[in-house]
This record gives sequence, C-alpha cells and structure tokens, in this order.
Amino acid sequence: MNVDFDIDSILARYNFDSSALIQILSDVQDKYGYLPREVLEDISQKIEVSLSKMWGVISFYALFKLKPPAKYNITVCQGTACHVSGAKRNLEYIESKLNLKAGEHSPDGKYSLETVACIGSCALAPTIVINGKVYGRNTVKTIDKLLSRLEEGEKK
Amino acid sequence: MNKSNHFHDITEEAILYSKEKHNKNRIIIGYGTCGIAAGAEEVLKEVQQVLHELKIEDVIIEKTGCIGCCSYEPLMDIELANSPRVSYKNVKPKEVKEIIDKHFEGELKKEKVFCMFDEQENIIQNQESWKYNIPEIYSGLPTFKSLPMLKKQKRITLRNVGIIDPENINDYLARGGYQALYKTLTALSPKEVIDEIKSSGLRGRGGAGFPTGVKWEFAYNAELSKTTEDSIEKTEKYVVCNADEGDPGAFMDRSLIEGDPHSVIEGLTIAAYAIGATKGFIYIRAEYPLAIKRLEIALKQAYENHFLGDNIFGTDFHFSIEIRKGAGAFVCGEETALINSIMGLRGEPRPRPPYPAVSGLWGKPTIINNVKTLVTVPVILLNGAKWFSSIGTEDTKGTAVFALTGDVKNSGLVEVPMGTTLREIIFDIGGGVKGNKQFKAVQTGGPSGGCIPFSLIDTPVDFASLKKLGSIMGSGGMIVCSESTCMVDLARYFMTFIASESCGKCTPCREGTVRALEMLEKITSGDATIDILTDLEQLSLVIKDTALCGLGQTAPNPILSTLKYFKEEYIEHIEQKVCRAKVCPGLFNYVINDDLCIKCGVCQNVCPVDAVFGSKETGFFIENRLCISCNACFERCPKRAIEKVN
Ligand SMILES: Cc1cc2nc3c(=O)[nH]c(=O)nc-3n(C[C@H](O)[C@H](O)[C@H](O)COP(=O)(O)O)c2cc1C
Ligand code: FES
Repeated sequence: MNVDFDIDSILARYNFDSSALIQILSDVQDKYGYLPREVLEDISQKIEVSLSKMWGVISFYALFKLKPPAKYNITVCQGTACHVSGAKRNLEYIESKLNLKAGEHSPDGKYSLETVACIGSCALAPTIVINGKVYGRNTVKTIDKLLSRLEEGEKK
Repeated sequence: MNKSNHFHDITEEAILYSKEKHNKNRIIIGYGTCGIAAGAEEVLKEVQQVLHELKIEDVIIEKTGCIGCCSYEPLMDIELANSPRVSYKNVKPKEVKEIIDKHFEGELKKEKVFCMFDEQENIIQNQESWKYNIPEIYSGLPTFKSLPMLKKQKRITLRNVGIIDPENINDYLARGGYQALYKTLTALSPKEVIDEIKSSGLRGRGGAGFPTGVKWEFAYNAELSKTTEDSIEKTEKYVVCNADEGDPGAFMDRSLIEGDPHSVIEGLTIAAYAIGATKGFIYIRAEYPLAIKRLEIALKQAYENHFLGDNIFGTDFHFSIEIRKGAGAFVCGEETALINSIMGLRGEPRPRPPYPAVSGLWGKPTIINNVKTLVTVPVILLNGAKWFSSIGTEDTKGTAVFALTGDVKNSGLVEVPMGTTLREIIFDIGGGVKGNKQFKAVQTGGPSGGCIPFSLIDTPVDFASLKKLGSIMGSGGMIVCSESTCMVDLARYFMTFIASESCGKCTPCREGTVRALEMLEKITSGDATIDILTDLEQLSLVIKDTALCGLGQTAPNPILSTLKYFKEEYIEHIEQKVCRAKVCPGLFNYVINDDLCIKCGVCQNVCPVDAVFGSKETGFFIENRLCISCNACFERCPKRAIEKVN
C-alpha cells in the first residue's frame, strides 16, 4: 500500500496519551475507513502500548475494522425494534441477493455487509444504513430499490 | 470582570433574541437522526428551493431535535410572525411547495396539519411561557398538548427536545438554561445540592434505579475519608455521563442529546460541583454521530460562555468535560466496564465493591450517571425537591421516559409520571397495536428485561412494579409485540445478542448463554423434546445467580419471563412443531392461494433462492424445503395471494 498515513495530528489531539487509545483508533478509522497495520505499528511506538495489548482492545470492540471498507457498506440493524419488524428476514433477503453473509466483503470490493445492534432510529424500524445514510421502514420492495440504485450508480 | 453580571447579561440577551424570533417568519424542521432517516434532509433542501422560487424572503430556517412523534416524521413547522407554530406531518418533498405557498398566503393545507402550538410552555417555574395570538383560520386545529399522544405525557426531562434549536445556546438560555448551575455555584454548598437531590427522591434512570443523591454523597464523603493528617490536597474525582445506550431498541438518550445537549452539560457540571470533581467525561456510543456532533458544538459554546473551564461564574470552581466515544460493545454501558473503556482498555467489568463512587477512574472516586438522570437535575434544583417528589409513585418519584416502538401506531418518545399504567402508555398514548393486529406482549428493559402479557397491562410503571413482574424498568426501551411476534423467537433473539456481547470474563455468562442459545435454537427449529424446558429454566437460574456483572445476571430475564407467561408457545414449538406467529423458519409454510393468484410471476422473480417453481401458464407453487422464510414473495405479491399456514 502506498498511501502515506499521517496520524501525528490525531495523536497530538490526545497529547499522545495512551488512555485515549480507543479515541485514537476511532479517529484513525474515521480518516481511513479501517485500521491499517502500518498505522497500528506506528501508534504502538508513539504512545507506548504494545501491539498485543492494542490487539486485545481492537478485538474487543465490534466497530473496529482491519479491512478497508467496500465501496458500498450496507449495515442492517438487528436491534430489538428492527427484529420484531422483520429485520432478520430483510438481512436474509439481502444476503441471498448479494450472495454475501453478514461480515463479508464481496470479492470485487463493491459491497460489504454488516449488522449493527441498533442505531437509535428504532421508530423507523427496520432500518438499514448504506455508507452512513440511514434508510427506515424497509421492506423487500424498498430493499430492491436501494440495491438497484447502487447497481445503477455502478453503471454510470 | 464580574462574571455573575456577565451571566445575567447573556441571559437577558438570549431572552430578547428568542422574543425577536417570534416576530419573524420561521420554518422549523425536525432534524434528529430519525427525522433525517425519514427524509428531513430532502425536505430541508426543498424548503430552501421553494422559498427561493416563491421569492419569499426573511424566513429563518431552523433545525430542531426529535419532538418524539416519530411516526409522523418528517415534521415541518411553519411559524409566521406572531402566529402559532403549525406543524405539518409526514411531509414529502413534493408537498413542500403547496404547503408553504398556502401557509404564507394565509391558508392551511388542512389534511397535512399535525397540530399547532398555542403556547410554548416552560416547565421551569417562574419562567415565562410564550403565548401566541391565535388567528381565525387556525381555530379548530388540534393543539400539541391536546393530541392523544401528548395528553397524558408530562415532559420534564424532554422539556426542550423538539422545541429549541439544539445548536443555538441562546435557545437553551432563554428557557432557563444554566440558571440551575448559576444558582448552584453562587448560592448552594455541595452538601446542600446533595441534600436537595436526596430529598427529591430522584433515582438513576440508567436501569438500576439507585438513588442519585446517595450515590453523590458516597463520592462526596470519599474525600473526607482520605484527608487524614497530611493531605490538604484534595483527592481527584471524576464524573461521567453514561450515554452508551446499549439497549437495542431504545433511543431516549440519543434524542435527548441531539435535541438538548446543553442540559446534559449543565447536569454533569452540577454533579461535579456536588462531589468536588474537576474533570468529567461523556461516554457516548459511536453509533450516534449526530449526537456526538451536537455535543461537540454545545461544549464549545459552553466554554466560550465560561460555563465550563476555570473560575466558572467567577467562583473558584473549575471543570472541564471530554467526550469519549465507545466502539460498539454493549457491556460498556455497565459502569465498571465503562470505566475501563474510558481508560483505553478492554471494556471488561469487575466485581463490585469497591463501587466506582469510591474507586473508579484511575482508582479515584467517580460517579456515573445516565443522561436522563443528569438532565433532570437542573429542573429539580430550580423547582425544588418538593415539586419533584410530588410527581410519581411512592417507590419512584418523577417521570419515566420511554422509547415506544415495535408494533404500535404512534411510535416515539414518551414521558409520563411514574405510576402511569402500561395500558395508558401503549393504548392511549401509543394508539394501540398497528394494522389491526392483536396485542401480545410488551417488552421492557431490553436484553436485561422481560415480556409482560396483556393480562398485566394495567400495571403502573415504576422500578418496583416492573421488577415484580420479572421484567425491569431498564433505561426506557418499550417494544410492543403483536400476534406476529413469536415469543420463543424473541427469547432466542435476545440470547443471540447476549451471547455475542458477553465479554467472556466469567464462565456462567460466556458458556451459559451459548448453551441457552443452543437450546432455544433447537426449540425454534422444531428439534427439541419437552424436557428441554426444565433444563433451560435451570440453566437460566444458574446464570442469574452466578454471573459476574449485571449483564449476565439479568441476561436470562427474557427467557424466564417468556417461559412464565408464554409457556404454551414453547410447548407448541416442541410438540406440534408449530410457530403460531409464523416466524420460525420450518414451523410454518408459504402456500399460494390459487383463487387469488393472477399468475403474474412476481413471487418467482423476487425469490432469492429459487424456491418458487412453475410458470405463468401453469401457475406457481412454493417448495418450502428450499425456502429461507425471507418473506419476499409474501410481501411483494400484488394480490396478497400468498398465505402463511401452520
Ligand atoms: C450490561 C449493562 C448495560 C448497561 N447499559 C447502560 C446504558 O447503556 N446506559 C446507562 O445509563 N446505564 C447502563 N447500565 C447501568 C450502569 O451500570 C449504571 O448503573 C448507570 O449508568 C448509573 O446511572 P444512574 O444512576 O443515573 O442510573 C448498564 C448496566 C449493565 C449491567
Ligand atoms: S432497533 Fe434498529 S434502529 Fe434501534
């Protein structure tokens, strides 16, 4: 990978304080979409937390990602309100349409599929988030529309 | 500079500013996360476009938080100078032009009107309420407070949400914001603050209901026990606002922060003063980006106005707040795990005692309070403990805030006096079950709570009475389940959640929840025998008794409560291999009703696993052995010809 990672500004924001590790990691992830290995090594040295300790933290929290995100990241809420409104069926439908399981990336790097335990828009259940934008009150019909819009975006 | 005069000045200015606002034309859009998801962004764009097109000038466009009537989002309010604010519901971008055009011409698009605000009430005593003059054409419009959804509500914690512009500190100040902090710092001793909160009877709204004043007193006294002979130096202490809101299906704290972020800052600062802390954290889940953004803005404004920082209001009290984001772990809502997470560690809990009030962040006395608890504090200090304790029940004073969701007509935010019955909340406020379905149960307390059946619907809500039913009050998630929710599947759902969120530190929770999940999966797939129910109950009781932290200790509640109230559904799954709610795959079939079928082929097209066979000539049939029960054909059939049968 040839990207130049610049994380000193992030570390400076937290005075190179190791207790801000989770904040640092999430700022890095906001910037690059994931946690690149080179960056982790760099952080480890600069704030003096061993890589293995860092790995302990990263693996504990569901939001940290070690792979670059796909072009379209689809997150299907599986919270309680969404569950009783059919979120599981929606997820299964999307899984079979995209031929992907939750947690996977499509081989062409176009889609990644995830679940989340609630994004707090429960009144609009069941919810789906695509690249940060929340869509509510989903049915098979709205999902078909959303997916085909992504496909069309591809062709353009 | 005299900082106290400074405060009076900026408050005066803010009040003036807010009065002037009512002399202008305004369009106000509900811009919380759910409003945006429902389409508020598109509506906002359209409003800007339409104003330009219609050449209407001098209109202030404002965003506000979620007023809690989520089923009616997007909401667009228009307030002409000195006239009541009229709220329009379920506004689609293409309707914006007509609504605005009419409204500015002195007409109303009646069928889109949600309500009007005839006054802007202020819960803080001795503060002015804004009253509008009501023009002729508005007569007959329902007022906000008279809506069935609102009639039984009493909004103390939610006092500003959906009314003020959360990104404008003047709006908060004009409604009595920071008055309580001012009073606290300039007129009350820490001990007096603690006594006031104690005598108000306020109990923590994060789930456990621990008396807030008592908790603060622990932390306050923690210092005294440390100052023995030599130390003149004060022990460092911390205050933390718990905005982790891990209960999936709850959004009270998110809406509060998005809609009224300054009230959280004010409450936390008062707590800090009471216990003698100079540093505070707001621990908020990363899944709430808008709430984080609004908090950041509010913090900046609070520093700029010297409500945070050094020598607040010219006193010798210093206090600063930092935001700490979570990273997607439910257990981090538990206070000892949260402490670890703030310190940058794995969010694993530890046994208590010692309680955080004695030994918390970096081993120092730390109090942790929920968002709603802190937001209630300023009002108590302004209106008095007596006022607060006159609301609610013997067991729990004040109001309860719920996020009402699921199969209910009016989903949204509800704040009612403690002691209001479940029936009133679900049927009077919530409007009952959606789509002519039968009510089956209401789930409260999230993964730590339970399911309450219809027979107990007249139970008044407070901490004690919900606990007696085997559920808990929790932090306020309330999910209405209809006949189309399978109670066994719901228990399975919660166990899936807990099994994946268990931090793994203690065996009963790590292993026990996985075993319980396996049993539930056996039942929902029709592979269990009846003696499994005894095992499941036994295991649940063991986990409850032996788990390390609150997560494990309460995790079996969804199982135990459904076993108690809905045992017949478990038995049906096991003995008749039937899921009466038609949710559990394999325990019901999809069939096509030939009398209704028009052979259009939609079901075949939409089926993602090719389980629909046949052709437009011969008609279609569904091979249920291939079916994954995604419900696509059922939902898409234009003639509703697909039926689910047991
Ligand atoms: C598994 C678990 C999750 C919790 N999640 C939250 C939460 O999301 N928000 C919250 O305020 N309290 C949560 N709590 C309760 C906290 O541990 C703590 O009691 C609370 O924040 C104290 O604030 P209060 O006294 O104002 O209620 C949770 C507890 C457990 C055991
Ligand atoms: S349960 Fe899905 S958004 Fe809350």
